[in-house]
Amino acid sequence: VRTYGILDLGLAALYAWLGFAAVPSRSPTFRVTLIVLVTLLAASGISLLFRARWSRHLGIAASALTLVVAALTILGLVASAAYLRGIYGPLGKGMAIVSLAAAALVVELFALVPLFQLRFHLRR
Amino acid sequence: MKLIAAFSCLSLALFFAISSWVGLPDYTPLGKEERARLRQAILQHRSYPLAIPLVLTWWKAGQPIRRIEAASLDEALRQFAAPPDGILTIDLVRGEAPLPSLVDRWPLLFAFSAVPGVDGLSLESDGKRALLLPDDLQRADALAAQAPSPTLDLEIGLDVGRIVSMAIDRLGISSEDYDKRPHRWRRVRVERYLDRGGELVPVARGHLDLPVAVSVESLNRGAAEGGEYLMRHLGPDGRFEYVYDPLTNKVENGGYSFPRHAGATSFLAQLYGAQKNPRVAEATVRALQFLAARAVEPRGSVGEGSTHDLGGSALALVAAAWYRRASGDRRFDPFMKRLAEFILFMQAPDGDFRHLYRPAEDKRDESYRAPYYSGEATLALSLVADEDPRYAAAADRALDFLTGKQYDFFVGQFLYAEDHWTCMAADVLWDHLSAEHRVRYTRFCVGFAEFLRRMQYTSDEAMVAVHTELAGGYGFGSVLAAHDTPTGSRSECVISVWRMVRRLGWPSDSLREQILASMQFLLARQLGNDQLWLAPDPAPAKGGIPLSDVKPMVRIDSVQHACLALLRATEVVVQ
Repeated sequence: VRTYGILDLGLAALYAWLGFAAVPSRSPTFRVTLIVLVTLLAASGISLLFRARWSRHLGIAASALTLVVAALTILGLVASAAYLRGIYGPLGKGMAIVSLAAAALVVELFALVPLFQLRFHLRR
Repeated sequence: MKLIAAFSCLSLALFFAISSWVGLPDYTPLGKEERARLRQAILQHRSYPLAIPLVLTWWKAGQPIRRIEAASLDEALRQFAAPPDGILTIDLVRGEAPLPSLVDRWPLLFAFSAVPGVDGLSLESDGKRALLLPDDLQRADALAAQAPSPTLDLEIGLDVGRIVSMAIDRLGISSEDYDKRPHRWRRVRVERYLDRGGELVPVARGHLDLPVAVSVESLNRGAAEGGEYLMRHLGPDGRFEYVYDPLTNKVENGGYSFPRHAGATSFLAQLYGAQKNPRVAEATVRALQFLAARAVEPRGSVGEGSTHDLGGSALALVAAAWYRRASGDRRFDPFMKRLAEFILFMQAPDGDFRHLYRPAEDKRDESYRAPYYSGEATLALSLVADEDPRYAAAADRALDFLTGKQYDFFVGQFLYAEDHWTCMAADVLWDHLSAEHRVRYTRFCVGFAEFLRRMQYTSDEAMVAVHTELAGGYGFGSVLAAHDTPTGSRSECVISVWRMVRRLGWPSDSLREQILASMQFLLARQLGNDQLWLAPDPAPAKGGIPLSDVKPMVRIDSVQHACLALLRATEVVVQ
């Protein structure tokens, strides 16, 4: 439980740094979603660390929201790749490698931990 | 697991739905006989059953003097009595696809909604339609407008503002009307031909799509024409016209670069060495005098203003050294000696170089780094290595750093920087290198050439099967049109690697193929009369090499790198 607590806090810090400092977005929707996600993850992390009563519910909510964000990001990437493929035809080896790397990065950054965490909480 | 499987299926379905919605169907281009019949029908003004929407345009001095849009050839023929005098281009409309209405809200999406130089665009509003052909977009310089990074010398994506304003001008509506009224953008794929030499020749991305023979003659001719271009654009004061735009017949001298001036001069010096044209020697001297006049105390560095970059001085030495090798003329020896000493002064203890120098304070900038200067300085010292053992030792130390310590970090094992100058320096310094260093530097440069080969468009790629004109160029997918300058500079480097590999008796066939494919690409891009139907005056542009297929401007370094590659590749063809 504590491991997931630490991971949630780490991810909250990472997403906050990515979304507010490293590559800040001008879109209000993006910023609001990020605030909700970071807050939920931080709350889930603290509750898991202190084994609070509502930690399971918070953990499920945080993991589910992160997964939804990951799914939407991947769908966005797929839609962009499909659009470029439709316009430009075959994209070439370089573009294919970049697209795969981007999708792999999204899965690694946004989907892996919440997937395992969701499974863990649902089995508790 | 079920959820992941369902999500994967959804992603796949989304991918195919979007790509087929905005995609265009394949078509079979006209065969040679069909093209001949089409040409005859237009010139002799007789009926021919070609039920493809088309646009006929006649050009004079880079301006369209008559343009006919029609649903079929017969309908087009009814619109004129006799073909006007001028260069004829034919655009067959082979397919159209809608662009999503989101392009109005997201200019970045719009910017990547057409293949530059291949597709046209149409705007429909109130039952009227404005068709913008690739030539229209090229003349408006609207094909490459987004600069993803200020440090990268490239621009991609359409210029949305210019395109919208051109289209609404043609429709005769105001921008307020455009915003208020319903309208629709469509992407239009055109098959393009130019009437030249009694036949219709395919046009791809602004140039004739013809197979070009790579031979000693064609390479030497290409290099000589590049030299003619530079001499034509060299002023009496020894300064080049920095960027020439053939489509506007205008010169742009803003941001004049001393390293590029010196690089262009070094090409002229090597051209003189190979072809012994006295006019080229005279031009080289004039361009060198321009540099020598800008050597500043206390150390003879070349530049203007308070800060001098290392590249200007390094390439000035490269140019002067090549000129002396070619001519035996020693008038620039004092200038060269001071430059070589300045470069030694700029070398750091680890073999690398400081890249900026402030002459007023006689101070080196210890932190700033630019991509090319260390390699350029190493090449400069290599070219004068016979003069003084200190220069040879310094160049060897620089090579040791650039091929070794520079990459001494985890990610360094997977990538290369802009190392083409480094490998050219290793080739030039060969006789001064130990056997161990020859093998080590060659191994590094072979790795760099292989790294470059992975970025070279080859005919076995699906993308090149669709865009055959890309073969031989270097690039990063069809979104970014291949650029001519990097294709030239990378080829120069691969030629050096080929020379080193052969000296060691290692296999060199793949390097040779890599070089020859690029030569075909470059020769096809060189501007001749046939490529310049959009130019008001073709003469000043002849022999120039454009920046890319979608940026027809000629900058002095695009000619330098491409034409030096052509000149040096003669050795590869002979072998």
